[in-house]
Amino acid sequence: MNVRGSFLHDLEAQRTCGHLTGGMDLICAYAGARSYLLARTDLYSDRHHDFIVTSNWPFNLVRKFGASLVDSEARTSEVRRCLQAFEPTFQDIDASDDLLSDYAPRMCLIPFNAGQARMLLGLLFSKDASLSHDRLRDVALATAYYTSHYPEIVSTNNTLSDLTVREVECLSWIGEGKTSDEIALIIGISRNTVNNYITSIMNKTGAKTRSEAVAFAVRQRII
Amino acid sequence: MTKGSILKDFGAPQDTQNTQERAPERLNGDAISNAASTADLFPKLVTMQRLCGSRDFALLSIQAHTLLKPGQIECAMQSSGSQALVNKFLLDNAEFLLKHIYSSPAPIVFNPKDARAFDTSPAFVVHTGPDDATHLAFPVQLGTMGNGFVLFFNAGAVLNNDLLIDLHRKSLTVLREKLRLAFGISAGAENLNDREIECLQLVGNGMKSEAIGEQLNLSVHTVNAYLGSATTKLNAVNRIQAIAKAIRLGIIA
Repeated sequence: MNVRGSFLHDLEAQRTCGHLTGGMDLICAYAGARSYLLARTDLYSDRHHDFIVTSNWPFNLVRKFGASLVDSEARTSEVRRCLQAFEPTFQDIDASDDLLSDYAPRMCLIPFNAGQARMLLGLLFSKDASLSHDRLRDVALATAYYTSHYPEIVSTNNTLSDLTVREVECLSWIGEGKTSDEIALIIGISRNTVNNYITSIMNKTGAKTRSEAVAFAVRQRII
Repeated sequence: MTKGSILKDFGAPQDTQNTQERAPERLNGDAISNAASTADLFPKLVTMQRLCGSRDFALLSIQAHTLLKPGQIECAMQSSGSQALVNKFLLDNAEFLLKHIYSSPAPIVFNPKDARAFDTSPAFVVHTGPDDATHLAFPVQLGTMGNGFVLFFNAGAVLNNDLLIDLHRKSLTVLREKLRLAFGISAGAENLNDREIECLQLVGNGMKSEAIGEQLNLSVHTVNAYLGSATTKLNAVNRIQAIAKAIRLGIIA
């Protein structure tokens, strides 16, 4: 078995008997990286809580870069995000940071999707490490395979399932640009009922305006 | 690939250049540019087909399901003469494939000759019948668009982790390239200016025109004018539909 085959074999074996970090260490070793950071980039509302799944980066670096990495991923346009998925990119780390004396001043970022989750793997390298782009692309898929087996990582919080079928129906008509009056006509209920549904949608999604509720629904693939 | 070229691939200046270059192409008719893109991907798929000793391949594109609409799966490209095979396969497995792509990134092996080889493999093994042939399905989930499967029928090669991840990586490349081409062709609303995009983004974040005006140092009327022109350019009937369209097109986050 060649190196790549046995890496996948070991990773799979790790999954059945080990803790999450064991596999992440294997991934790091295969990539030639020194430390890893695994974050969820799709938890908009939970941004301040636990979007970082697991990491052995020096903690000050996590604090300095963690949120901004996830933020910049969220600000990227959807098309570009799709084109970048599973593709390693590199980002320079501010060299003035004295923490980095033994780290290379560039980190590798690999966005990937596993099941419902959108994630980001950030790798830090030692100063003298030699990078293999080929291996980093293997890592993108291998990490997706590996993490998808941990439901606690890839599960989504289900605010969506709270919405009733009628509410989703209203929401999707609003997304098509219909007004309350038109929706009332389309689904055959009164305008006030439509408005009640919409108020209830905004309460459930925590949106302040109709626009935000529609934006939320499109992002979450409800409509 | 060098690091320079990776960064350049995704640089903003090049992207805008691409859309400008492709805009005239649209006027010449979609058929021509579509034909060119198909021709580019075909040889890649043929090479992959040879690697796994398969006789036929198919490239499926998937439309995400929402709570109201079920997901859609359609065949975007296939090896010649495989229509009957692909149709039968989709009839049996479309539902399973749709479910799989949104729950797992793992490649699927249908009816492997030696199932024990997959005891420690990320691959997902499915048995459809006692004497069915071995098929491979590689799920590619890029995001809200560009998702799909690359299928290989009657794979005769000896399958192992190494071959599977190699084919999976190539599948990613093929679907990414397909999305790149498709978006270059259909990007109709790319001529929104920065201010319009900025205002749309803030409306999508739940701000009212007044608040946006305050933040951007503009009057409410100017903000509304930007939103109005963005709505027209996106061919939407009101600003709410403009938001929905802009997010689907990837103009705002």
